[in-house]
Amino acid sequence: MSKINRDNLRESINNIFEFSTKTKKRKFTESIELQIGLKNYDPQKDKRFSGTIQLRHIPKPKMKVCILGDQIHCDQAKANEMPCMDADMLKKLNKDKKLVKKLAKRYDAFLASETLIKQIPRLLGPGLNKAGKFPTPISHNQSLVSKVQQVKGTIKFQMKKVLCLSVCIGHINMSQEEVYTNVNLAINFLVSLLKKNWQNVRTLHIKSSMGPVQRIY
Amino acid sequence: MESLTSQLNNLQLAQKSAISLAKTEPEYILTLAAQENRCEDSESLLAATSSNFTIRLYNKTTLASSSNIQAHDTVITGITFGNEDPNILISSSSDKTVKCWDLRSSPENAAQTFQGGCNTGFGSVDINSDDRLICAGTEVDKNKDVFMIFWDRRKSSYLGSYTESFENEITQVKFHPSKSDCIASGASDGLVNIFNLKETDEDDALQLTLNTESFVARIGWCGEDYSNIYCITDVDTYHVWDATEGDVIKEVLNLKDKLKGEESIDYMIDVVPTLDTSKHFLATGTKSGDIKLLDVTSKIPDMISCLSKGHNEIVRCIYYNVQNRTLVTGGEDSLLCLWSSENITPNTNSSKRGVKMKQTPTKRLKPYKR
Repeated sequence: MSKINRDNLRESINNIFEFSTKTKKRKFTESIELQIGLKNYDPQKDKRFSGTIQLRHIPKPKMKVCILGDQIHCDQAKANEMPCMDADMLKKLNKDKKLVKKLAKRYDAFLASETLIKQIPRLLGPGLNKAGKFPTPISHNQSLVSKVQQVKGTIKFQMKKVLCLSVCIGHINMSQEEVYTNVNLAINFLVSLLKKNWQNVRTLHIKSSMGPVQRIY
Repeated sequence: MESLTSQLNNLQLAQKSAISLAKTEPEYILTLAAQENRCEDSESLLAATSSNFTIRLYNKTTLASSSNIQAHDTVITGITFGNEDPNILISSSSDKTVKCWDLRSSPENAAQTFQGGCNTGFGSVDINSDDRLICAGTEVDKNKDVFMIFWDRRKSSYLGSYTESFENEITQVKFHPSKSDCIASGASDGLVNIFNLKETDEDDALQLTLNTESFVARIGWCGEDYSNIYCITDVDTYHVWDATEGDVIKEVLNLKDKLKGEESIDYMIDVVPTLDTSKHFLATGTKSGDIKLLDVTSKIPDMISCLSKGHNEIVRCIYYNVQNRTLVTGGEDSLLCLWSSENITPNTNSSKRGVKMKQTPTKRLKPYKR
């Protein structure tokens, strides 16, 4: 939090909300993203930094998660009204590439029981891998609901070959305070990953999907 | 036989070798590979890639510089020596080529160049246990496809590729050390895939997919008969799985949180190999260049030794020589350090064959408490 002017940040968030709710309201829930410009970093030779952090408030509430589970997990999923599939339903797909692709497109993420996850390459082939939606394992020790919340609330920072990256950290229907907390968490985490901390950050912006950019650093 | 723990405990700085004395733009040492199976171990070579796109060869035991190969036009992403024939060195690069160097001829020239099958740079390369197959993983191309390409080494011919099992660039490919048809890949989509190359179709060849939920930095085979596979991710987590069944054998997820204050670390470098399946050793480092060797077998990590005064920047790669119990480390300060548990008098000032040695860095002032 050291280098960001708190009032400036609040004002920027306020501007975003004003624009998206009053000036030009859109028919969908706009999401708010944080854009980071880096400097003093050579993507070819410097050590790659990446990280995942769980935000306190879920940035993408409409994220669809499907449970691929054994009996116990499927029962829990049905009790919580979450979409689920069990081993038999997966076998019915018969490794058909098109069906697996369709399944991958229908949901944003998958969770799978530990026993089932080992069979996924054999049941479904590499379709989920290619889509980048290979399931994350769940055990019986955790509550299914909490794991789903965790998956929905986690954001990934990934360094590519260019000096900028962006992550989704909230949406218009959240309160300004919630966006404020999320932005702070994300920025502090990112800075701790960088080799030279604040020396590696050139600019920071936040914007809503359709609104103008607000510079915060 | 001295246990690995006590060997690691006794490591001290024995030798340093600099690849560049320019202080303005230091060249980073990115990866290390070593010749195994060479009868005269004293002649064995160590190859280090540096960020100025060259491969430098050193003597494995004394770090005396042997030669340089102006290898590629851009970043070299992977190097490996041949397994049966240690005079072969393979390197992959983002310049879309994989080159095979014959070290017996001098000056070294690329005996073979492998290309084709894709239109992007390569992120990693490996050669299989009988030196027959070369496999390289690519970066993401314009169509968002990623490939794992296979060539026959002797015929220089393109054999085929896998493309279905990856969503992001492949950062590591590692053949099994003894089974010539088994290979593992690690990619930036967080997945470690194990393939059985005896199957003709990629769908059938994919045996196991393991999800790290993060970004894969290094993978390797370990354990008894190399039946386990380990992975270190970019977010500094460490995982070990059984490579046949896919069961999680070990997971270290928040190592940085468990070590605070004096013992704190900033990143994981690599695994120190051990054939003892019950133990897990990691080499970790700090931003100032200290290397801390940890035993992470139990829930509370145990620091075996702290190797300092060697590097003064981030350490990028290590190589542990089991025969003469030495550890070589390379870092972003262009230094290669040799740490030995035998009492070798440090040779920091001698000039062997005109190799310039960087002076021991003066102790840095630390005005702010870490």
